[in-house]
Amino acid sequence: MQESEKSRNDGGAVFSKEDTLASVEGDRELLLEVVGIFMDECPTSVAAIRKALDERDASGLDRSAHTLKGMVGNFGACACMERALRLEKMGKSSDFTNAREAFATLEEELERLKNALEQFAGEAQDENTYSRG
Amino acid sequence: MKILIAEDDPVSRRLLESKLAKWGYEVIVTRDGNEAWQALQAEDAPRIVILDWMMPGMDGVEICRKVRESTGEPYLYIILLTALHREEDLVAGMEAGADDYITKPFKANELKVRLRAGKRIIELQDELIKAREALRAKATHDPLTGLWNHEEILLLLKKELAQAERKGTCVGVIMADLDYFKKVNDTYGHMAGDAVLRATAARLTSQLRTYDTIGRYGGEEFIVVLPECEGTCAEVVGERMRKSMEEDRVNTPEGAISVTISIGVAVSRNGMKQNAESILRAADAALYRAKEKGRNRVEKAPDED
Repeated sequence: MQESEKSRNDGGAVFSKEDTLASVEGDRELLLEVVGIFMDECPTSVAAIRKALDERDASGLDRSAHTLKGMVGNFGACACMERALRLEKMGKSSDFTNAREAFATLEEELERLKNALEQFAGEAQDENTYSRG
Repeated sequence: MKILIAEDDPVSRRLLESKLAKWGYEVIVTRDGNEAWQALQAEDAPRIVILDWMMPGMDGVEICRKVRESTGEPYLYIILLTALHREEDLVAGMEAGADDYITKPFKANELKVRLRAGKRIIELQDELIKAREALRAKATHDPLTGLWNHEEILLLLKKELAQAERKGTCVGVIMADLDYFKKVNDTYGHMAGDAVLRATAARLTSQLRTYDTIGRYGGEEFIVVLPECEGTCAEVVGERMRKSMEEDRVNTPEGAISVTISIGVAVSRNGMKQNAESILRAADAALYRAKEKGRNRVEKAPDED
């Protein structure tokens, strides 16, 4: 609960630049690399969750949502983490009520995160180019 | 130091790998529990492992349990990676045999110091193993010649006899005793005597096949155990040993000394149950005859019927 209030108070930040830069320890090249990895991995992760929902595979949902949550956690993407966590808990308790709706909100938030990260990575690349120039 | 990571999320995996490499670890990267388990079976496998708790295939806890079921040597230091809200699972993880845990997303400094603790434990264990092995070597070897000692060569002989009985083969035993060794000690002193014993050990050892063993049975007496020694094989080896002593003088602090050796040979019967005492008695009797017949010779125990 507190977590969600905090992320709203952040002005609805999709992710945390601070946390992200801390994750890569200020290494911009590594930042670009992991954002790239994230972009590549996203469709696979989403597909795994969708498959678990389609097959009503509770432990599959638990695991795939958990992995996604861990992945976005590296960027301090609180809203995304919360939504993944919601699905993870549904998987854990085998309760699929509202799971579709929860999945839809996760997908929405993921899109937002992808766009924001792409933009951030773009800025980082520009700075990289400048600093090299 | 090598470190293994097992993490199914590629972003966390890359971040972890990059940090560890930066800190000077040699990183072995795996993507799930099964891959990690495979990598741990390799010779010279890493001694520190960071396992994600939840993974496809074997999960972190399962690996912990399997690792601890095995011998536990050399020790594997296991750190579990877990999400914050799963802290209640930690008890289960530590009980399964994990040494430590860190929560995701992990803080670099925290991971760094925890790894240092792990490294310390690994290094301490290495030192202990080294000390223990040194003690074991001391307890099983003769300090002067470096050969197996009396107790150990007897144990080895018993093992070989049991194996020969199972496999239907035979074992040759050589009992070798330096001629007039007391005179060497009396004439040239104990330093020279020790040098002769060391040289004898080296010369006899050089005549062995790779699977033969040799021990210092006592004073100037040596025992050689020759597995799968058919026909005249033991006599041939015995003769080579005798010659190796006769043909060159031994260098000692008191100058070069001529030394010869007498040898008694006995061979167990193919696939028959035979105890160590009786075959040693037979070799000893043969040695006695070699001494009686003028020394510097090989005598074989008669085949029993």
